[in-house]
Amino acid sequence: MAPILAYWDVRGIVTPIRLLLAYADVRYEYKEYEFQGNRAEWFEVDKIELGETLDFPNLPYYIDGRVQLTQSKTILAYLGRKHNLNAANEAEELRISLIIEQVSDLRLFISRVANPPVSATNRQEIHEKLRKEYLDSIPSRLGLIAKFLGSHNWMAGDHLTYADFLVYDVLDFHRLLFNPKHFNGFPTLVAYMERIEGLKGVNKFLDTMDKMPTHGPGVAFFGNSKDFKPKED
Amino acid sequence: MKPLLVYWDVRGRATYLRMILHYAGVDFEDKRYKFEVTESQKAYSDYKKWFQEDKIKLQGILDFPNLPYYMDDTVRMTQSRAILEHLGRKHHLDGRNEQELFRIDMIYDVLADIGFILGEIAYPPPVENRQEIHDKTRKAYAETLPAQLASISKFLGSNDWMAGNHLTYVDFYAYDILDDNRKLFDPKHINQFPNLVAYLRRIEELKGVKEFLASPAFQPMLIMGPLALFGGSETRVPTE
Repeated sequence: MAPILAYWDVRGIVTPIRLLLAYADVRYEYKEYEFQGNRAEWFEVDKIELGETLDFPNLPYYIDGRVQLTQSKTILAYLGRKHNLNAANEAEELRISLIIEQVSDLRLFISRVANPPVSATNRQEIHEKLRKEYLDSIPSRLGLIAKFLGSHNWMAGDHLTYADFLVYDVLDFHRLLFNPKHFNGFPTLVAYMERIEGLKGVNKFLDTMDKMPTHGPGVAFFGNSKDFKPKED
Repeated sequence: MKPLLVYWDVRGRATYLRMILHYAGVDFEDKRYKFEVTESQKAYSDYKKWFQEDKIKLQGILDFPNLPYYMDDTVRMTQSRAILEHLGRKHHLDGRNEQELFRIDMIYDVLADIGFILGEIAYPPPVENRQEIHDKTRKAYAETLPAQLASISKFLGSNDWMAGNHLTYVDFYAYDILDDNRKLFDPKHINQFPNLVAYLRRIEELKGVKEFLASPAFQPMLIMGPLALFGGSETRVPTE
């Protein structure tokens, strides 16, 4: 039986896993839960039914026989080990763990910009303040990532690892939600993104992946439609 | 060189790093940037020294200058999780098989989600009504706490440690996040789960850790910085 990967019908945090599976040419079932509406299929049915299978029922989940995982970083690292896309030595372990945490911080910042507290009455004001803080930080953040990559082809060094799929996705979120011009000063990052997009399996997946909102419609304040158009700044 | 760990003078993201180093018996320098809150309630002193001087001097030495940072003869690292994972590998406190590796990752991710939310509650966005936002998000989180603790308790089960039958680096992180919750919220929530209470006590009894937790260096109540809307002062009575 093929493994199952499940998530909402948004980009969210699942794409790095799908990129890795596409590259590794793994046949799997992709189950999508509809985010718009009351999300009953997940919250009222499957989350409860999977309560004995999954330790922490959540989306994404990955089930392959007796391997039953949630948490996107856990799933990605597991598949990285399984498909020989992980660290080959201690130096690579250090690089992988450092860049994963660094881009995870960036993803969390984007998430804070996209999801001002639901209970606040001034979500627009909060969103704009955080958006400005985020954009002010971007040149230095991208600069440090570019410097870390240096003249390597991949984040770990000489070979592709699972970390590259996560870095790609976070940087791609920035391009989708903000202005790709921010990458103009960093040709090595642009080349890095193209290198990943050119990988066999990945290129075909990206060509056929449906256009989706990055964040959940009806809940997120920003990035919540597949036709979202970033501003110029 | 003597290994060096540097952070603010609070628990924050350093406690679990201090704990693992004490457990491993490492003679390290536990350097801290101090906060000092003035009459006008602005925390500065070492704050400026870090952001305007030292962080800049560390460019070229650290790939992503930040606190905490850790240096020894072979590594120069930031990001608390990356440091903790490195120390776990170095001091034989890592998973030993595939099942342990993904158990460690999964519980780490679950706890990190909690840690992120606690930070968001403590430091709401920079708007005038941030106290109101804090009160609402704190209450909303407290309502989810029993169910979250229940799933963590079930995950631990009858194991002594999160990975299974031996101590690993994630146990120090789990201690810190679970202890944060019983300091920031009513300890009655965690007391519903005897295996979690016993687990925390088991960690508190570890040689090296016991001495650290009893020392002035631990500062049990100073979880966040002094400008946080909770967790930043010695006296805090949880309301939920």
